[in-house]
Amino acid sequence: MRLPLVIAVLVALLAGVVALSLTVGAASLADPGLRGALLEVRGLRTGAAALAGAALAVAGVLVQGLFRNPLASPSILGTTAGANLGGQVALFAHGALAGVLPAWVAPEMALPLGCLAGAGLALALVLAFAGRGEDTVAILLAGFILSTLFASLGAFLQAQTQESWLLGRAMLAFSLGGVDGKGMRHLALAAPLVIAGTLAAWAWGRHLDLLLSGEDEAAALGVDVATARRWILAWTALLTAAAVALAGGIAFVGLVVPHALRPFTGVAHRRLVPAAALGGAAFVVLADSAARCLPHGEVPLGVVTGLVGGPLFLVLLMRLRRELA
Amino acid sequence: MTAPAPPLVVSDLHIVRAGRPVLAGIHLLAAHGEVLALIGPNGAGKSSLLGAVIGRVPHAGTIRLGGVYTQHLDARQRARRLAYVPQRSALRASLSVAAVVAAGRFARQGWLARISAADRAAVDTALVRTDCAGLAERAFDQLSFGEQQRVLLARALATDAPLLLLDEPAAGLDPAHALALLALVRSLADEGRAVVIVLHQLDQVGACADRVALLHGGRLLACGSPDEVLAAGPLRTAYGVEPVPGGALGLRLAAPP
Repeated sequence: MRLPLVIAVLVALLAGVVALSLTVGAASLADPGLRGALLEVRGLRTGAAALAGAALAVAGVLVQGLFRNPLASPSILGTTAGANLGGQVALFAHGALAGVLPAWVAPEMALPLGCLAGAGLALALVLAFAGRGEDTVAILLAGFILSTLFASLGAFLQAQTQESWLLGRAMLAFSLGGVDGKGMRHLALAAPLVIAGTLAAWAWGRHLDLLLSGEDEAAALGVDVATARRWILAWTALLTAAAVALAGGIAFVGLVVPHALRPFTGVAHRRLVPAAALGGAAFVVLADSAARCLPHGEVPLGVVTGLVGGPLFLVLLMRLRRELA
Repeated sequence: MTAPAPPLVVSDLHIVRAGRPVLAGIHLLAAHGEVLALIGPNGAGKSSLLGAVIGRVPHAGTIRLGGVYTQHLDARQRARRLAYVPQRSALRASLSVAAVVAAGRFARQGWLARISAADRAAVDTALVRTDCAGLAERAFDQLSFGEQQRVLLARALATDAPLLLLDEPAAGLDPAHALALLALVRSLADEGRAVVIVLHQLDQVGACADRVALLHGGRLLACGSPDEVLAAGPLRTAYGVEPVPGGALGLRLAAPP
């Protein structure tokens, strides 16, 4: 399909789900006294959902291209777990050390900054373990081990917070994912990262196309493989950190969205990146709207994306197998 | 007027892998317009030698591409001086043939990858030369093996590089396709390119090569004309086989007139 058509359809879809997201919820926009406040609250969470979805989908494009594996998810690098742990540490330390934070850090910013620090630490460890970034298997193993380690540390922290009801609830809500209660400051921190990451993913798209032929052929064609890999890993880490900072742990977006769009855009990365950014944004905004509308009160966003994304992914896999057969 | 520097000069090349020497003290030169065949038993280091030239295998000694030492070339500069065709591409994605061949222009484009008139002309010429013009819109992963090899050769041609490195490009092809490929390789060299081609089947050497380098046990056992290298002495030492008049290695195939 022609790219402008795909983009136009996705823009229309995103506009539609944004409008939906602004109108649905427990309270009605018909009340003139509530309308302004409701629109502000819903606008912020819609913006956070859109940014987080775009970031995860673009990060998915990057790792699936880099590892030449359409089943790769951004979380395999360990940077998602690192961002999660960073956020949990920030919540924990914020509760334990309230008032000790430097004055320039607004209290609600401790969590996103913790996510960025955690993802940065995870990336540094993965790159250190993987040497000069030459060996794919070493990177995947390091990512897997770090993910497990960080998840264990996060569980330990969570266990420590059981004494404090408020802190325990905050930790749980963060790990289940959600975009409620996000302020302008959160969006202002994350938006430049997501935009820069998406532009960078587009810029590295040609390198990723060439890397589809394997590292030897890509190198002979002029790709500095080690440098390209380091940068692509770094941008993936930044995008996942921004997503976790905005929305906590939301599953399956980075895996499913690029997969679902490839039949329409083809495998060329410079076509896939803009489509994935729009499609990821639309998917998470829609999931967040659904999370607010379910009959038994709000469901965590990560649960919705997992419940929708899992079966959707299975359908895609079955279609892929039929095509191959 | 001085002659242009040869596209490839390898001096005193040593490669060690996992503590084991793979190549030791290799000197090689590939001049404009010649086909240099690299032969040798399995594990002789032929592919490692190509790997070193494309910058993927760590080595001691020096490699000059068009007179410039490779350590002074970045990835793109190096890529403008050589083109590489693997034995079998790792590409499994459904990229169009046109996109695969256009990848050969990567090292000559900026970050925006604007396609210039020269890029388009080089891609079109490469598609026609390799008889791939009719495949341009097909997906690479849907092609037969022989078609894929032709597309990879087209990608190499599109680079406009003066040095072609081919790692057993005819392996797995039937005799007619193999002969056609080797004839194309021959004509590419006749236009002034240097071609280094790894060959496994010795009967293919005579079909295209000007000179032959025989690797054995990590060393250059013999280097010279096909008649000199494919003689009883070197073949016995390297392969443990005897050329027999009328035997399998004497088999000469030719494309139908």
